[in-house]
Amino acid sequence: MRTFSKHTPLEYAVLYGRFLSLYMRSKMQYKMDTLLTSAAVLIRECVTVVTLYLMLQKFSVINGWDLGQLLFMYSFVFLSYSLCILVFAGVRDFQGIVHQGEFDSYLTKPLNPLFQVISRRSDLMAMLGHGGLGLILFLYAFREAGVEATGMNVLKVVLVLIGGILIQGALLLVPASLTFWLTKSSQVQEVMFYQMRGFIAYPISIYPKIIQWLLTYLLPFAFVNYYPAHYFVGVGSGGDGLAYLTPVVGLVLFGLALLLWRTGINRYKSTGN
Amino acid sequence: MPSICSSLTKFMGYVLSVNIGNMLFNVWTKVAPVLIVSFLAFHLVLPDQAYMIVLFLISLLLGYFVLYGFNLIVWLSAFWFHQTWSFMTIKNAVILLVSGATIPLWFMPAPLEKVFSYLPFKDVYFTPLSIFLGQVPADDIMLTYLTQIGGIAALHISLGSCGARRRRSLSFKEVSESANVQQTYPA
Repeated sequence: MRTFSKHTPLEYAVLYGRFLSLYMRSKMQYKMDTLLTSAAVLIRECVTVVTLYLMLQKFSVINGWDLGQLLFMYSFVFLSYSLCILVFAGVRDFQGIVHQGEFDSYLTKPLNPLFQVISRRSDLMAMLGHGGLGLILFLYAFREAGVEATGMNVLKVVLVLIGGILIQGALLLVPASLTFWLTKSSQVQEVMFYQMRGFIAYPISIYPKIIQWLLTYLLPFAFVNYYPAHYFVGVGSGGDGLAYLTPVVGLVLFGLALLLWRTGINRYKSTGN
Repeated sequence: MPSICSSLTKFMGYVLSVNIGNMLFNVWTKVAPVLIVSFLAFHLVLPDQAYMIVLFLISLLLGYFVLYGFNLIVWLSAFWFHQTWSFMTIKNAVILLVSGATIPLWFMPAPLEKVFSYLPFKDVYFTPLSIFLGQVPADDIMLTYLTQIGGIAALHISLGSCGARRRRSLSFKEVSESANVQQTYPA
C-alpha cells in the first residue's frame, strides 16, 4: 500500500474535484428526484423548527433560553451537519458501499480507501436543505440573541463549525468502521448518531444528568451547539471554558475514529456481492 | 407480462399485507420496548377505566388506515416519478406537524387549530391520543370514529380516481419496492 501513496496534496485536490463532478453528473440523471431532495430535507427540518416555535408560543422560555437564543443555538446544528454531509456523505452511506460491493473496487485502486469513500460521494442536495435553513436561522437569530457581528466572533463561529463538522464526521466514521465487524451497521448509526443528535435541538440542561454526561463525554454532540451557544449568548449553566474545546474535541475524536477505521479495515472481508 | 397482470388484481392487498407485516414487526421491536421503558421510567399514566383503552385501540386501528391511505397516495406517485424518497419525506414531515404527533393541536394558534381540525391528518395520531387522554366526551366517541372512517373513505376515493388512470401502465415492482424502501436514506 505504501508504495502507492506518492500523491501530492494538489493531486488529491484535483482527484477530489473529479470524483465529485462524476458523482453529481450521475445524480443529475434523475433531475426531478435530485432537486426534490433539497426541498424535502428543507421541509422536514422546518417541522422541528416550527415545533420549537409553537412550543415557545406557549412557554416563552425553555430553561432560561428564549426563542432567539434557541434558534441561534439550533442553527449550529443545521450549519455543521450540512457541511458534514457535504464532506462525509460516503462515510454516512458506508454500509451501503460495502453491501453493494463498491468498496471492493475502491480497494483495487492505488488510492487511500478512506479518501475514496469521502471523495466519491457528497450529499450536495441535502446540504442545500440543511444549510439553507441553518443560514436563515443563523442570520435571523444572531441579532435576536444579542451576538455582535465582529471579526473575532466570525472567526469563533468558523472554528465552532469546523469542530462541529469533525465531531459529527467522527461520530459517523465510528459506525462506518464498525461495519468491518458487524457487516450491517445502520442501526448502530441510527442510535448513535441520529437518535442522539435529536437531543441537541433543545438545551441539554433540560435533560437528566446521565444524558448530559453522555452528550458531553461519550458522544460529544453538546460541543456542536450547546456549549458554543452558551458561550456566545451567556444563558444556561455549566462549563464556561468548554466552548473553546469544540475544535479540540473535534480533532481528538476524529483521530480516535480514524484509529478505529485503521484497525477495522484490516479485518475487511468482502460481502461477496 | 402475465404475472404482473395477475398481481394487479390483488396488488392492493399485497401491499397492505406487506405493510401489516412490517407494522407487527415494529410493534414487537420498537413499540413494546418503548412501552416497557415508559412504564418503568416515566410512570406512564393509563386511563382510569379499562374500556377507555379499548376505545383508544379502535381509534388507533382506524388511525392506522388513515395513515395507510396517505402512504398509498405517495407510494402510487412512483408511477409518475419512479423515486418516492422526497415525497415520503415531505409527507412524513407534514403529518408529523399537522397531525398533532409532535405538539398537540391544543398548543397551536387558534386559526391553525381550526384549519387542522377539518383535515384528515389529525385522525392519524391526535384523535386516538385525545381518546387515550380522556379528552373526548363519551357521547362524541362515535362521531370521532365516523370522522376517521370518513377520512379513510375520502383518501381511498381520491386514490381510486387517480390510480385507475395509470393502472394499465403500472409497474408492480416499483410500487412494492417503494412500499418497502422507506427509510434507507437518512439524508
